[in-house]
Amino acid sequence: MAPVHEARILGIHDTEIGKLAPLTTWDLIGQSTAGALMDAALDIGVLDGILCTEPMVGGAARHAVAVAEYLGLSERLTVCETVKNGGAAPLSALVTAFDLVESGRCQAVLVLSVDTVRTGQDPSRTLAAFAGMRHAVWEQPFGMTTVSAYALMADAYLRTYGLGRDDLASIPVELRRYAMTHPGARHREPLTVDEVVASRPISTPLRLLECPSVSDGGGAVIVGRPSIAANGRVRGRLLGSGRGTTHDSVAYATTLDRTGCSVSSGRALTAASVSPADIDFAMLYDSYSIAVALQLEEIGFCPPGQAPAFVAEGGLRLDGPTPVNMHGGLLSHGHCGSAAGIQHITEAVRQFRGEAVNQVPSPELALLHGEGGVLSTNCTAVLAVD
Amino acid sequence: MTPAADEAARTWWDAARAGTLLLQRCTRCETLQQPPGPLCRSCGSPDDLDWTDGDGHGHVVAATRVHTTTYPHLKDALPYWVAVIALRDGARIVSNLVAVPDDTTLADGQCASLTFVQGPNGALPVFRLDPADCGARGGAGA
Repeated sequence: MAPVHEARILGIHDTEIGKLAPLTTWDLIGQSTAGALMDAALDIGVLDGILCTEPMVGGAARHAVAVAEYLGLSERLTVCETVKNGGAAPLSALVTAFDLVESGRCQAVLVLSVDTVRTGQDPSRTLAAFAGMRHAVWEQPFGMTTVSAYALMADAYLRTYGLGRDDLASIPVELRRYAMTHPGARHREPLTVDEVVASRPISTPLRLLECPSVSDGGGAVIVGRPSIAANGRVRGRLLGSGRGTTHDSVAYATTLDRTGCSVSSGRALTAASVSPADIDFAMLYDSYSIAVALQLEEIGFCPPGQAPAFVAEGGLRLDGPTPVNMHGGLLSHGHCGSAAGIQHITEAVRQFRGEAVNQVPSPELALLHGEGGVLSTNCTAVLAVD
Repeated sequence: MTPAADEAARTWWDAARAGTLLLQRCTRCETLQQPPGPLCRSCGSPDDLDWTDGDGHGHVVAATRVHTTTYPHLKDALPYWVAVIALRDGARIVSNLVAVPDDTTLADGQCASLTFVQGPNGALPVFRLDPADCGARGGAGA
């Protein structure tokens, strides 16, 4: 259905990523809101919608409404909602923001996603929170961790396709290549396949350097009518989107060979009337090495079982068929707890503006994927430069 | 029992802690489902659910040896194995593998069978590796 109104991404902001104490989640909310408004050259009064992801640390019980009062926006907002579906939340909020503007419900929606999961609370509480993400009845009694859930997906994947136990190691290495040249990335030192393979096992076959390290940080995006834009930096239109799920927990998954990523990406590509070959770059939710492999294959960037070879042959590089996560991704740029994925969106906008550090030449189409849980919640968006 | 449990889960765990692996069966469509629930997730029937004893044999679909845990009470148990087992009866179950020698490389389609270990809340249904072929097909698929 054709939108009633046009919508574009009018402004973006990234916070720093790392150990940001004494800054709190609320400091980052203020920074991100001001930063995105400044980027858009808009006054805060234009905002009539807020979509917040729920922080793991420092959020309020009714988070979006608390953010609204904090920013002095309460009464003028027609939409003010907290989005909580794990790692898919920032992208899911972005898609909803486009829906709100295109349908005429809002003129400008702030998508806000920040967290201080690294320094905002005692590490033991963060570990307990991650343990609590597994099913309380059918997974926790057996000691399944979040890494273990992905490790089970990885083990099944490697067995199904007869691949080697080290074959996912090139994925973090390729993402590190981008991070090394990106001043905002948390991990910028060189990384080799041998170092990944030699890093200690966390939950076999996944090793330390195939897993993210959590950071504080996040960002914001303003989606609004282009008619209110105050400068020429407006880039990014939603061409199509999809959401999908096949399971929440591993315990309920009837197969480990296919996830909701195939459902959501199929819906998004159909809605956008494009194929993977048309996409100029992709921003994938690289929470673990295996997540990248599964997304590349389920979206259709490479055939089933061939993601490791695709990546090792330079498939994710600027001169490859599908540049992916040119900011270094969650694995090297940084994973900010519940805000993981917001900087995938801001990086995509920088690519469209031609202002990225690792710039794809004149990109016109991007595919973004977010997932939460263990590819449980899935959201895919196809964005066009204009 | 955790507040996340429902009636079916309480029945299942009560049996498990007493040393029996129950499987929920839909007598309408003959599907076995694990985890159990308030209706058959295959045909939707809420009125045809029954319990059957699982025979406890199956093969490993996926397994991971956990070296770092987010559960403080399991730190002393490291490393331990978590696995998805496809039961010969037809359902899948998440459980542990126990008594796995240190140098083990799991074969594709590795057979495993039910055993029980004593946990803090009673018996815990877990699996040990079988040396013999259990007739399960190889690979991790489906």
